Amino acid sequence: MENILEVKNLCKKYKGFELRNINIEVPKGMIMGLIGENGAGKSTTIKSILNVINRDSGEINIFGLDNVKNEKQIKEDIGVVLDDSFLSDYLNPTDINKIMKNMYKTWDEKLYFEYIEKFNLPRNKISKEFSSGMKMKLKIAVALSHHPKLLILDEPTSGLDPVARNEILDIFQDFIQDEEHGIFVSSHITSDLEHIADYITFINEGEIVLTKTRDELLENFGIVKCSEEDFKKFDKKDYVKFKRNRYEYDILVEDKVEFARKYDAQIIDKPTIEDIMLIYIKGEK
Amino acid sequence: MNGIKGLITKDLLQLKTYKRTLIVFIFVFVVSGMQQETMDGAMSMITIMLILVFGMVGIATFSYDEMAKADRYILTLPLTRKEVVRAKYMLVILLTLVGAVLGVLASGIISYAMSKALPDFLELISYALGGILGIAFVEGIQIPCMYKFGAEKGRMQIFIVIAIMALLLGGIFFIGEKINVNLPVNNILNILTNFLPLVLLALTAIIYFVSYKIAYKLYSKKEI
Repeated sequence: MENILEVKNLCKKYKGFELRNINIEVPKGMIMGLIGENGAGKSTTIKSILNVINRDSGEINIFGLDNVKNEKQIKEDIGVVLDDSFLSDYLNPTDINKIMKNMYKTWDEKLYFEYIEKFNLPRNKISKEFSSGMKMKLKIAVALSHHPKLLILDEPTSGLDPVARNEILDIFQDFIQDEEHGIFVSSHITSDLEHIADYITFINEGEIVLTKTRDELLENFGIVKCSEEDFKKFDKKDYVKFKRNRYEYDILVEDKVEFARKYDAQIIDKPTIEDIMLIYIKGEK
Repeated sequence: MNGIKGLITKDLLQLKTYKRTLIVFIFVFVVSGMQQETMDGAMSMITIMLILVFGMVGIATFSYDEMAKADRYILTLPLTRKEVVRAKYMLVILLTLVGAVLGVLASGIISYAMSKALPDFLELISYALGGILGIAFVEGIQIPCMYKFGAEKGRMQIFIVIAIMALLLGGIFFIGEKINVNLPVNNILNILTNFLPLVLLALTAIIYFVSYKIAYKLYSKKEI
């Protein structure tokens, strides 16, 4: 399968924080979700991909091209939504159309206003008067209206109510129907990614902890709930991490079927992505 | 060029909110210019003040971008950092020229209305070029400061930079006097007067060019 985005051994050092050997591959036609707690390195990874910060080492290819050498060409085909950065609040959707048609060669004015209508956004009201959900919808409309091949989305559903979130997730699903497209999305709302992502990459303290398909994570991983006495019987290499609760232990296992067979375990819960993330971050080995 | 046009469009559209303030400023400067005792004084004041106001309005676009944290988003658009800096300089120069044209026109109209004679347009243009050089000097320092320190901090830095430059110039003259080096001030002034418009234009071009180079160097290394 051809990759639309490849990050190889990306390193970036800041005072007090370091991104170490990040490797990510997003195949065409797929949605890759990047999860991790605040400060884990999600935004630094996205900023490096977008060449907004200079990487210390490593390689980033988008559409098979180096993201620094072919920056302008690549950015014509990327749609970007950033949670904390957009154009001035003193512009209205009509102004933004005037700007963007002078920015992208493939800007589609008709499509843009179709999204504006669909999202019920007033054309001539400055975005300062929009709710945070409306502002996010405006960013998404802009990101989609030049027929991009790759969407890079940093927390695109934050600030949206559940109905709006679903609406937006449906749009991403439609976008990915084209096999030439791809989506790289970071979010701390892991339930959203559970719905749409084909792959999940989990980043913690500047390092990739795991990359798996969503189905592998949700179907193979399990959380064994047991007493301290039972816990002591388990071999360390058979589980990923454990979390000590008040009355029981939560043990994250990578292959629940194998674990159940080996230890005759009775209670193995199906985890959510959030459960897996929490035990990885808070758990012990 | 497409991206540069988009950025200039963005800044001009953002400045819509300044429309009323600008009209008030123009009115105030025209009226106060008319209070000057001589026609020369009135014309020079109106021309120079309008240039300064329009020039400073261009600088205000930095604050809009900073408030929206727009820098990062802008760099995700199909633009190079060089184009981002170039667009900003093109905008401030464009606005300064608009201020100069308005200033010369307003002065001409007032002069005709008050004395029923057309003004000396060469003289008016000299005032305008002087005003443009003045604002180029301010912008030439301020824009790189804005790229280096951000809109808020950059605004403070300009006072520090101007103070340092004043001290340096003062220091050179002071040391010159102390060690009895006679600076050919009169000769310099004579040359300036004879070739004034050309000298003003050349100085303005040099200031903008050097400032642009510095601003680009600072912005190309900036982590956003």
